[in-house]
Amino acid sequence: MTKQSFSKIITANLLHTGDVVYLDQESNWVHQIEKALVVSSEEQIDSLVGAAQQSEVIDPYAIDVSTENPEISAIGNREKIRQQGPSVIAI
Amino acid sequence: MYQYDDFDSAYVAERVNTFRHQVEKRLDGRLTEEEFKPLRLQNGLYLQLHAYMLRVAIPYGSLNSQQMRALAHIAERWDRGYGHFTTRQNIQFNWVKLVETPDILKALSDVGMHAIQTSGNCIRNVTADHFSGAASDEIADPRPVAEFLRQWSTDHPEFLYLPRKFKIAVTGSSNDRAVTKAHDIGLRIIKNKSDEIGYEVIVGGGLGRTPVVGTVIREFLPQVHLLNYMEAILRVYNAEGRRDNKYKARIKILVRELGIERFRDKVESEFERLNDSADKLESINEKTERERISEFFEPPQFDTDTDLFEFEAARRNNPFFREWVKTNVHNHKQSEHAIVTISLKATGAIPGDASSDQMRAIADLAETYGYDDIRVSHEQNIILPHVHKRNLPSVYAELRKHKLQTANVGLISDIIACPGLDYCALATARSIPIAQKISTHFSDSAYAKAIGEMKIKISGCINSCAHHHVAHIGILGLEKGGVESYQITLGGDHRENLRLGDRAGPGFSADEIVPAIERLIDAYLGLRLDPQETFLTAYQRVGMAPFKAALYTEQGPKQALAS
Repeated sequence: MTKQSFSKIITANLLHTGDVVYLDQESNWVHQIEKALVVSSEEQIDSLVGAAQQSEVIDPYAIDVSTENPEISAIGNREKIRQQGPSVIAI
Repeated sequence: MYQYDDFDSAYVAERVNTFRHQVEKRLDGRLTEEEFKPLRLQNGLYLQLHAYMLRVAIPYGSLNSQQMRALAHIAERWDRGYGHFTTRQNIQFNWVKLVETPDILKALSDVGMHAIQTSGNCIRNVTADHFSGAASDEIADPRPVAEFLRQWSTDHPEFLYLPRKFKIAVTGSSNDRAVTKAHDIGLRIIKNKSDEIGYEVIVGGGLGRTPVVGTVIREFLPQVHLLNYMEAILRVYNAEGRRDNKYKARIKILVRELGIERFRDKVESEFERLNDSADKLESINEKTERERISEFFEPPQFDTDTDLFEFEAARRNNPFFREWVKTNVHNHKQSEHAIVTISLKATGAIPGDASSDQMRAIADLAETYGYDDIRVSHEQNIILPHVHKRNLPSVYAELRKHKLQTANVGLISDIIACPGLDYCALATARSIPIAQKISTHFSDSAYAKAIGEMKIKISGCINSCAHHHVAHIGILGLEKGGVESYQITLGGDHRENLRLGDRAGPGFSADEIVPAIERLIDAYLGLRLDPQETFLTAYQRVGMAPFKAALYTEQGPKQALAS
């Protein structure tokens, strides 16, 4: 399977709860990264992040993702942990 | 302990109401996030990786059973049933919701607590020796001073927008358990030749990305001048500290750039001007206020019963109790009493975490056996500062029921660790799993005791919340090429002669770190003169070379990560 040359999605935290969410194809903020909209250009990122500033989320930004699985998954420790939750089990 | 007066209660209640309105405005869109963020931070509410995090101030780490139960209730009702005690003697709740935060703050205010000034470029929660009022080596109790400074610094209009955050620590003992030389201002209560009590004032210490050992700016400051002198230091810093670069904005950078002599001249000049001006904080009133505050910290009416039969019998007959007493119980200024340290470092546990049930159990113990006094240590443990020795077997038995009996205080598994990349938005690597691995690896208590005193501190980024610079073995987690890499420093010392550790060399991967620590320990056990020579003392005697050789031996990692 060929890796896409430009694989980014938009993520943020929900204003009310702080939950990690991703922007889907219908402009909804969802908890499942698999449903995220893969954006195709920097212009689209700027547009979507700008629009998100006015919505029910905070700190929206674009992240690199892998689409090889073929499901979308986060790249890098920080975003993997944001996606999956802490790697440790609390009391 | 200090009790809120009407003014305090009204102020905190008003802050809760104000924040409730601010949250409402944010939720209905009248406030943007840009407008709201500084407001939530002023109330201790951060956004971390997965959720909001609320940092609650525990003034100088001191609380009573009612307050501990309130923390347990908050954890249970609005979080996930636990809280994380921090190296600044505070508690953090990792999973709170914005919409519920005003209710949490209300619950805190009901028991005389808040989250004010636990964030932002202001004077943060004043910290102090966790053994204060109980330690056998104490010159004077530092809590009245810390409370005095807390009241002075809370909502101080001149110092709410400093160049950067500002941390003050106070100790009343010659054995410094408050890490005063690693703070923006450190105060050590001392006596002069005339036997008068005053302060040695230390300035410009700090850890973080630029670790600096604090410097003495005043060898002896009479008590009555404390506020004016603090005011003078803060004014010089506020006026001349850098605001163009947050990494160079702490007072330690200003002191370093000016040199201590020039900085001192400026402070003394401002101090003199303050003393001669209408801005002077009236010394007579200051004295009266200090005395008023001190009355809240009068020692309890200690039980003077000298019958220690039960204690001695338990120590004789129960080896587990005996070991716990050896490690977790310290001398009290009253010989019939003891200071109990409750370890929050059970094997494989998350350092500093306590469940609601555990918090309630600690509250019950404090109420029943501990004169209703509880402390949080910067080493992420809980202290019962006053327990009659007769009651130690009962305390131990209760602790066992709640998995709080781990006998490892001061040993290799008594690890300080920040939340790291599992929670923290600033972190570059995980620290908790590393602490868990080390704790589990060295869980054999006989082996841990054979190793002896050991301070391992693990930070998940350069900000050094876990104080890794002053650890015997410090571990700093970084990210190198997308992989977590852990740098080791050796020979740090957090006590009165604060010393920064020396960096050993290239970092290790997460999988390599436990074997690396094992090799360090093996090297130490092999070269120490006798079992009384601690790791730190041995390091000071032989230096880095043998430990570096052990770390980077051919039997070790074939490819240590590039530094």
